[in-house]
Amino acid sequence: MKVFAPLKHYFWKYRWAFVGGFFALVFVDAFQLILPRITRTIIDGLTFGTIESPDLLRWSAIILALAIGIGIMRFFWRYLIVGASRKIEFDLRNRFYRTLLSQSVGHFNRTKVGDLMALATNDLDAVRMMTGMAFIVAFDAVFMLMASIVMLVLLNWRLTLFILIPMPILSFIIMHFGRKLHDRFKEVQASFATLTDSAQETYSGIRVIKAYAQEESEFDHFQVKNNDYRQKNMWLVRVWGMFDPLITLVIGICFGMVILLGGDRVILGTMSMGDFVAFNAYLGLAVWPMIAVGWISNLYQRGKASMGRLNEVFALEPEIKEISNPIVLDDMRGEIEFKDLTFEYNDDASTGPVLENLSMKIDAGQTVAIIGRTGSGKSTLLRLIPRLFDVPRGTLFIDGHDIRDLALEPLRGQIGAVPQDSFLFSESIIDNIKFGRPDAPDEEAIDCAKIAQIHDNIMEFPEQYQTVSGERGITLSGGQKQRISLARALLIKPKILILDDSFSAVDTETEEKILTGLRGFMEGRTSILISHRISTVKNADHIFVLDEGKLVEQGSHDELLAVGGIYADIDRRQKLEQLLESED
Amino acid sequence: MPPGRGSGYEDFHEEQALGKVYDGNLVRRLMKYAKPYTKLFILTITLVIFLSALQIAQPYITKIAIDRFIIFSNAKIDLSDESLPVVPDVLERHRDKLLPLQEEGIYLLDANELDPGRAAWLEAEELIGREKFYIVDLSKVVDRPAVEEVLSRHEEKFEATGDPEIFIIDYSTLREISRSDLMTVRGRDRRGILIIGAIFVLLLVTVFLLQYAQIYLMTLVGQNILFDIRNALFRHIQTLSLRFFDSNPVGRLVTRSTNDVNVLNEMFTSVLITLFSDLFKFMGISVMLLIMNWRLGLLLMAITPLIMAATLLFRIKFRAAYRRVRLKIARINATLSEHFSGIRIIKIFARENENFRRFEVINRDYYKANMYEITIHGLFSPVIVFFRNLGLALVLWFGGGQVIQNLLPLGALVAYLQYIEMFFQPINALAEKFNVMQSAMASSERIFQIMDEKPDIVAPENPVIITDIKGSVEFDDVWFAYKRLPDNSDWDWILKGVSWSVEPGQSVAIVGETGAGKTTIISLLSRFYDIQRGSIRVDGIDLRDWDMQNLRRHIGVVLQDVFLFARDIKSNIRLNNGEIEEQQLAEFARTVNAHKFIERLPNQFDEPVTERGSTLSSGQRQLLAFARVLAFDPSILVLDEATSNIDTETEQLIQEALLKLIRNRTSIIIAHRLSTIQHVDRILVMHKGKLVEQGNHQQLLAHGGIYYKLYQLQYKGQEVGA
Repeated sequence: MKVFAPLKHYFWKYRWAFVGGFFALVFVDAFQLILPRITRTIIDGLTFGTIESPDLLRWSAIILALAIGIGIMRFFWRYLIVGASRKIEFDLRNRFYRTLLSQSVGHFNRTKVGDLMALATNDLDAVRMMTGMAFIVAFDAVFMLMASIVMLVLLNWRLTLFILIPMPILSFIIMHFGRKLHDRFKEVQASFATLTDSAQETYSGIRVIKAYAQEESEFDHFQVKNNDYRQKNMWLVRVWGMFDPLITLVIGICFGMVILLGGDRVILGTMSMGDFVAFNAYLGLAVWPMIAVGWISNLYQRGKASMGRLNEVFALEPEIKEISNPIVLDDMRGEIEFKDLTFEYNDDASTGPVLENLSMKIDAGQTVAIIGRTGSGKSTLLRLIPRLFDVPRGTLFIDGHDIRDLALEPLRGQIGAVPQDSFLFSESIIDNIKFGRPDAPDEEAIDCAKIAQIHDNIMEFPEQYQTVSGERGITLSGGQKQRISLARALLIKPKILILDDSFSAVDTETEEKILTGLRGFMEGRTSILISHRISTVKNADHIFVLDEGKLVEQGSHDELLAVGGIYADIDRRQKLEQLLESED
Repeated sequence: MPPGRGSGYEDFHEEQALGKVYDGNLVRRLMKYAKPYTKLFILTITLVIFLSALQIAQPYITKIAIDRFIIFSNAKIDLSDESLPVVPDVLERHRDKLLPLQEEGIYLLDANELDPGRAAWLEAEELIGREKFYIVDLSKVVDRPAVEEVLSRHEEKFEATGDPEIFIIDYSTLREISRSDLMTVRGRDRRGILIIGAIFVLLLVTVFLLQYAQIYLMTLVGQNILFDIRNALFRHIQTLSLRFFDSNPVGRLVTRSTNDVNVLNEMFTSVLITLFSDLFKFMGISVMLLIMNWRLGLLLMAITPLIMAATLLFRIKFRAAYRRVRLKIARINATLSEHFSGIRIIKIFARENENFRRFEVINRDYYKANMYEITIHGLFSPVIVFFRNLGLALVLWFGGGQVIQNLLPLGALVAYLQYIEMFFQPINALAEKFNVMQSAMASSERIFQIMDEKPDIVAPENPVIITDIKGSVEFDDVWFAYKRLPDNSDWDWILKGVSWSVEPGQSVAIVGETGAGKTTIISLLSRFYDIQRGSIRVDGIDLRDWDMQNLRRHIGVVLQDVFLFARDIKSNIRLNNGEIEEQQLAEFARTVNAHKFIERLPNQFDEPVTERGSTLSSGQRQLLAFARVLAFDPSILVLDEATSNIDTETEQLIQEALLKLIRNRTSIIIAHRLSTIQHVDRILVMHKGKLVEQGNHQQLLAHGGIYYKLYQLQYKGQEVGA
């Protein structure tokens, strides 16, 4: 039961809803238990000729009154208990989101988004079903079963004993068949997955299939899987098809016994006709809890397993934490220093250090550039400066403070980073630009868009700044995304601006314009341009050349060309490319 | 494009709009797939109707048990005064049923035999007694001597009748007789109950068997139809041209072929088949309600429109509420997924708190939508409960009254109680069919949209089929574009008047920058796309005149990113061509140097390839593709060399294999390697969609044009490694 420990808090929080709901539930059940007694009175009255029409009218009115009572109370228990379970779901989802959002980026590199989504949907649902429906049904089933058996015993205990004989068979059938069904159902699902994979593969490999004229044999291949799925479904139905009819049969036999044994008792006068009818009615009330038992145990099992998985998330501690009395760097100057930094990602795919013995100093207000080939470790720098990943103490300093001593929010709030993939959210463009400063005035956002050379493009969109980006809106080109994410970084007026290959999808002419526009903006801010393009970096105050995680060359553009090393080689190749490009 | 922000925003997350419940055109098309199973359908529906009849019979059996064997309604009637208006009439009409008693003019008659008018009159004149009598007919009892013995012991309790064989006893006196004596006296009734019980159980077992058979057959029909639709859809999608695949993500096509088809299942089974069951049940119960007592029947029927209206209204309201819930949860999930994917941006901009605040808002929206759904459900379900109990109250009040007036036997009243419970089931089930139909229509619309898609590569009327292909390839002023320019003024040309040719058995390399149009040439040669202008000829015959299936078998294509199927190595080489023996496979693998790494795999040729061959390096995959080419022994080889990290050892293996491959085969290679360029007969230089230079390596270098620059940029460094 330890698994459910986190739920206790919520049950307590919504205790009044639960108490009220159960109270209403008891009312509903009690009213339902009264109805057969009324029927019994009427039938007996009719048999013995002791009832008159006005009595009938009165009893019928009472039935209607009870029906209204049941209706109202049923509304309340549903509203209260199901509502409370929804509220718990709401709380759990918030907690889930909050816990995950406080995790560092590294956690997300190790976890698939799909897995997290499964937690957020399937598992949360299973827990909610357990806290709501399973609770009610369990309570209702037990209460109703007990009460109706008591009523049956009161009517005729011998007959009750007889008709209770098939009941355990019912529970057994449900449990046994339930398990069997579950197994077969899993096989059907597995077969469906295979079928899906088969279709997926053919459609993905359609080029090869067409190129080798393999359509017919691919179809045969698919047909085998398709047939297997059909067969598995038929195999499932052999058991599944028996489930409901069998339950009907067992319940029917119970009722048959009432006709046979009860009828005989009425003949022999040990039971009245009213008892006979009421007996049928109470049996009807006792049947469904029997069926529900199997269902509840299933819900409970699922809920328990899901709660266990959710608990794992709730127990997560953020890897990157502030020290107890962090230095709040409200007005950052923007000086960055790496001291003999060796860094390695701690994930499964780790292949040794990404940065090795890196030492470099960037003065406040300087514009520096970092250039290097793919895999040189230059993008890692972008992740380290806002402390998305932790570096060993004493290796990275901002304004002379060890980065691990700084408060996180002010640190990140003053760093504007434009990562390579330029991820935008499915919100309007203006909201995307204002991502870091949601309360910024629109004019400022537009100014930033102008610097990023994206304003004119945006104005051409059907809804301009209100245009939504992403799947559900307009598809932006790589270059447009890059410029919007640049505007987003500019809007927070960062003290340190880091651009990681941010113009790779922007043509050189526009890049030139952006860089010129940025020059004024960069005044008094530290900027780091990470790129593999000479055109981007050549005007920087200082250029660092990284190769395989090491700092190999540094200096100004001219100095580096004179060295004739990696930088000069990159320059030569890019000039050639340009030459080719200009050729017609 | 989304509509205005205010209204449109939430709709982005909409899964699908609420569509039609019935579309004649779609249904007609769907029915074509059901047609082959017409006989099975009819059998199942017959079964369903038979089954419903048996289910409806159950309460009636209870009625018979009660009215025939348990309860009796014989009352004394005083018909002595024949001057009264009704008396002669009753005497005449019920002559056979009237049991004359010892007292002159007094008879015993089953009170339920009387029609309402006469019953009411007799009642009013107090000519009919309220006391009910049990009849003991010595000629019919089970154990005559025993019954006679009981009669003799209770002489004072039994009343003799006009018939010496028949005695009667009133209900209250009967209850004074001991249990064991009752067993004797009512032996016949007890036997009757036993028989009824046996019939009931027999009925239950029959229902069980029929139900099982019906579910089985229904599934069989449904699954067979789905099987056919999936096959048809798959076959159709395969015929579509690449242009279609370019614009339709694989995921969508997979969903159409699997999930969307599954949605139809319910339509074929639950709508087509159980619709009959529900209708028949509804009608059958209605008939029973009317037959037993048409007044009570009519009264109950009168409330059915109310129930139907309430159920339907509830369904509509509930569906709208449910849709709102789906919309909100979709929005939560979309947001979660996006925020987890974009976590880096959230961290960089320290937006955690703001995001949490916003998330809580949409989470609360979802909660509210749920509460709305609960409220709707909570408001309507009492209404249904009320109607149910209204039915019960009507049966007890009106039916009870009819019983008092001897117009309805008690057993029938009990049967009414059971029928009224059964009555609501088909109404609810019928209402649910709307949902099923709606999603089925939506899914079938999407399925048929794909079915209606026509391949844009049209096969010629009289296709050329030649098995002995020599292998000359000719591009004659080929102009090609995938799409038009955004402003639609002209095509966005990829190839601009490209002309070249290659003789059988010769090899050419195509070089050029990324985007020069090299890869497109491969697709065009397999006629994956039709060109806009010019002509591509193989053996002097235009591609558009060839039977492409035939021709493609003679063109071996190796793409840059080799696609491997998640099957074993063996079937990746021979594909589905079972004719190729395993021994030959090993031979091919050895020829292209693939055997070395294959033999190192745990299961060698039977080793399963996982997830598109992610466990194999791109060099190894290329070698496998080479083996595939050998297995099909094409006259023409088209190869796009792999560019990415291939270690020197594999590189060497590839080059060796390549030399063997191009021998005696027309070969067109998109080259990224210096060694390849040097092996071929001729080099074609592509630049911005045009063929700008051609010749051999030395000639082109000496020319000092684009090839020279390309060489400097792309191939020069390779000299050291290669």
